[in-house]
Amino acid sequence: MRWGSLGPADVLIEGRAKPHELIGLVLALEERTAQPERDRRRLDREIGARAVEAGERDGLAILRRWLAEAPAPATRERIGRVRSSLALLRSVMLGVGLFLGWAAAAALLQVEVDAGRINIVLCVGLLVGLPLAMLVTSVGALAWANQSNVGENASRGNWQSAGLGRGAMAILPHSVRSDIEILVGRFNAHERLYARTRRVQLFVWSQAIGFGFAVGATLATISLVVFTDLAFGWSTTLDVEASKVHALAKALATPWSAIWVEAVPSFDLVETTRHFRAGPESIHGHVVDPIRYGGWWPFLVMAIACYSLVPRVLALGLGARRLGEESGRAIAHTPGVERLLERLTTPLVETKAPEAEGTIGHAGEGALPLEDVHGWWARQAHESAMAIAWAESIEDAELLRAFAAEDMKVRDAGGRRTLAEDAECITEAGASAGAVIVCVRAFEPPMLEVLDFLADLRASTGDSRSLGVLLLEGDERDRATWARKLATLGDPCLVVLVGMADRGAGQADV
Amino acid sequence: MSGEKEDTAPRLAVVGHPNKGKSSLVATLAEDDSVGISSTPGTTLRSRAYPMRVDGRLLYTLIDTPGFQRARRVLAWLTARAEETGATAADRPRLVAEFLAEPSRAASYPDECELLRPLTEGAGILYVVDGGVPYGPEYEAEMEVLRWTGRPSLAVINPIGSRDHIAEWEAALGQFFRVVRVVDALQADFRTRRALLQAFGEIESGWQAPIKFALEALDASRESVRRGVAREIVSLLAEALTLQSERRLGPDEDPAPYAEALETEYKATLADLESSHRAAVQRLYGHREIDAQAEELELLESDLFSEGTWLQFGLRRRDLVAVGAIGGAATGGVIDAALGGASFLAGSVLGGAVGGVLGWLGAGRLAELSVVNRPLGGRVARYGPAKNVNLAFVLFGRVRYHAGLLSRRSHARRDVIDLKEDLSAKVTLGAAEQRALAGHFASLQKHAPGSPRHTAAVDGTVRIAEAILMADEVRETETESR
Repeated sequence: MRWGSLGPADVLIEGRAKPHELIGLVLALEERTAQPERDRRRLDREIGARAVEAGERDGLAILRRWLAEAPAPATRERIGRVRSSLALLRSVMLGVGLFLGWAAAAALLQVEVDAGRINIVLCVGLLVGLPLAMLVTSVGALAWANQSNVGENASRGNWQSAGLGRGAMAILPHSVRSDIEILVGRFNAHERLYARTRRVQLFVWSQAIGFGFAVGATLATISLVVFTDLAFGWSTTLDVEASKVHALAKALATPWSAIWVEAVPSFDLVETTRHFRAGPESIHGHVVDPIRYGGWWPFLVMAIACYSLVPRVLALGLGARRLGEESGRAIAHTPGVERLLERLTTPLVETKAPEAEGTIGHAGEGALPLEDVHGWWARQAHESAMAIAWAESIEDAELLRAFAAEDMKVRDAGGRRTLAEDAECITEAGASAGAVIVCVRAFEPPMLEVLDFLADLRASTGDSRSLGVLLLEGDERDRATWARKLATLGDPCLVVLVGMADRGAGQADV
Repeated sequence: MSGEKEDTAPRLAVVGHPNKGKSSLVATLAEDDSVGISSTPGTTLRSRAYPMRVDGRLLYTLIDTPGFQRARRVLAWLTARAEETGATAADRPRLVAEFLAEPSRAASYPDECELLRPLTEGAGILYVVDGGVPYGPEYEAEMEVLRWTGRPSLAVINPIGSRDHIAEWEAALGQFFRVVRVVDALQADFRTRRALLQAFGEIESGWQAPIKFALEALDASRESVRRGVAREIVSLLAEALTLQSERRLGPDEDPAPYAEALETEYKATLADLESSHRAAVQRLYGHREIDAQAEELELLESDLFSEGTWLQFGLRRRDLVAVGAIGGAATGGVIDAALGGASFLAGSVLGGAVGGVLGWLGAGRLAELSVVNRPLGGRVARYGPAKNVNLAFVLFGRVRYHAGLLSRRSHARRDVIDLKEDLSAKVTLGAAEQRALAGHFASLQKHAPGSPRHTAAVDGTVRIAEAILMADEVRETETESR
């Protein structure tokens, strides 16, 4: 019969996670901490055992299952809110970028249209060059910060990130904002742990804006090309030959030159669309066909797509990947996660009693005084005195006789004797007239069997006969135990005797 | 969990004379320090079950019972009844059940009813005697009654007193029980308890599988506890080594007046930190009721910053030099690497020398007061983080010592133990361990949590701590068995 499985021995947290999983885990762990340790251990292991049964061996997968099953509905709702808020933030960032891109491209083109002619150099500079420079800056800053392991205040110190963070918070609904603020507080407390994740998250958001910007700019340009009459040209105060500008434009167009030849400006286009503010409308004496001024648009669209949109897509993808890695790393090092995984993956061993201990017995409130056997014996009538060795407590009866009286009767009871032999002993004691000493080994506890015997003995001898229980061997604590237990009999003529020198088990000495 | 398995899980009733350590043995085996244990006989009035479950699945149950009080009377009744009915040996278990079935028995023989009932319901017998007192014939009646139950049995000699009567007990018990073991319930460490559990599996066919699985689970649990303790050690060190106390300063304010207060605050926080981690270690070992009981903990209660503590748990000055030299050499090594070996390892040698000197100089100081400019403006007076590498070794040594005490402390112990043994063997670290730990401690202090170096330091320290805790346990077991 198979008794069970203990589960995987070594489970590691490796791989990528989502930021909302990190935040959810922190919230759920906080809830778990408030529960009693025993419940926490049991509930977590139940989930872990299900994960083991499902064949999950990866730490993150097991944690995801825990996150899906463990939190209370209220916490699950909070986690859900955080998740949807992060999705909302992502969409908002994208939307903001889209709007900005559209607005920037439309405004730029419109301003230039109003000015008469659109300077293609300015367009490429503002719609392609500037975003590309910002992208390079943000990638460089992120790489530098992570490489140099900047911790405290790193993300707060960056004005772009700080501004973006504040802007993001302003967008969120109040309920989510309070959750995030609590988390931010905790994340600040573990700044060195979460700084990298936060930096990458802000980077991803900034790339979402950049991506939206590139898409917006592309769409705005195309729509203006389609619905308006755009006249592109280029001009410069410097003495630059058209061939150099053409070479530059051609170099820029290299990536798409093979797939869209029309988007590569020809020398003729470059030369004919050069614009001089103070000069005539024609170059080299002939009039330029107006349609030639529109010839730049494929180049502009492809430049935005190639140098703004594609890098942003790549940066966004790489950023999302890094965010996953950083979130996974942060989860692995979040305080409490290691212990949680331990609870999930190691068997729950319970050995304690499930119920609290019931009533504890005690030997009675009072205790009989301990009396020296020699003094007591001196006061007794020696004739027909009797000694009873309980449970073979006296191996050599002669020693007892030497101490007490030569003709003292020594009988055995308890131990190997039968109850009938005990009864005979009691009858004999009842028939005699002298004191009765019951010898016991004090290191053995006073059991009810002895007390029964003493009660029967008292019934047989009558209430006034001297009855002594002689404690042999044992220590102070044993003697005290006997004195307390014998007091429960309530026998006024029963005394507890001590004072026989201890010479080993069963040896009485005078 | 299937009902069938619940039914077939072994049950063992711990029976015997009163006051012979039955409850102590149960407390030890069940690792339950809430079991009522008293030197007064008859403390246990009712049977109490201690089920051992792994992930909710019952593997075995220990049942603590009251001691025999009227064994001869019970035996007399059984013998008479057997003669009366002409019962054979095969009928004896039925006669015991018949004895219990009589309603008046609960009043006349409450203890016997409590202890015999589990046996008639299928429990095995774990008979406990005190090997510190001589064997006596009064035990024979109860052993005979137990034999009448027909249940599988094993006897444990629990030497309570100082005298040794184990040999005579072994001779006597051998006539009634097939398996006899000597187990000191108050001193039994994990391995001894494990060996006894293993013996349970041998007394009845069909019990081996659940007991084997229980042992595997206990081993895994023990390993998990050790890992937990190792993590507590790392967590304490990571927090302690980066701990600092701060006070905001005015633009031209002198930090000197705050020095003493900051140092006091720093030390108090450090002591609290150690105390909370110590409590966590205690919980991991399942000890909840030893507060203010164990004198041995006094050593740990003494001032963390006293000279005696640092001498006891810290590294010696020459070891510190070696440890400092390692840190310096590592830095020097970086220089060598940067110069592509053109320095002919001069960097390592020089770095080692500098580190060694710093180790020597730093041996006496804990931390320093400094004035730090805030990135967003303002100044603070700061005490800490710790400059002295020995602090980490002192904390490591103290938690290790505490864990050692707890790991071998039986859950039956209610007494105060005299600590007279030599401590030095328990807190000594080998040179290789010192070097490795020094490197890890430096990384824990220097690198951010989650960074590759910090992670490597955490993993490395946990591994070393686990190995040390394990070695300590093995050494203790070997010492005790000798």
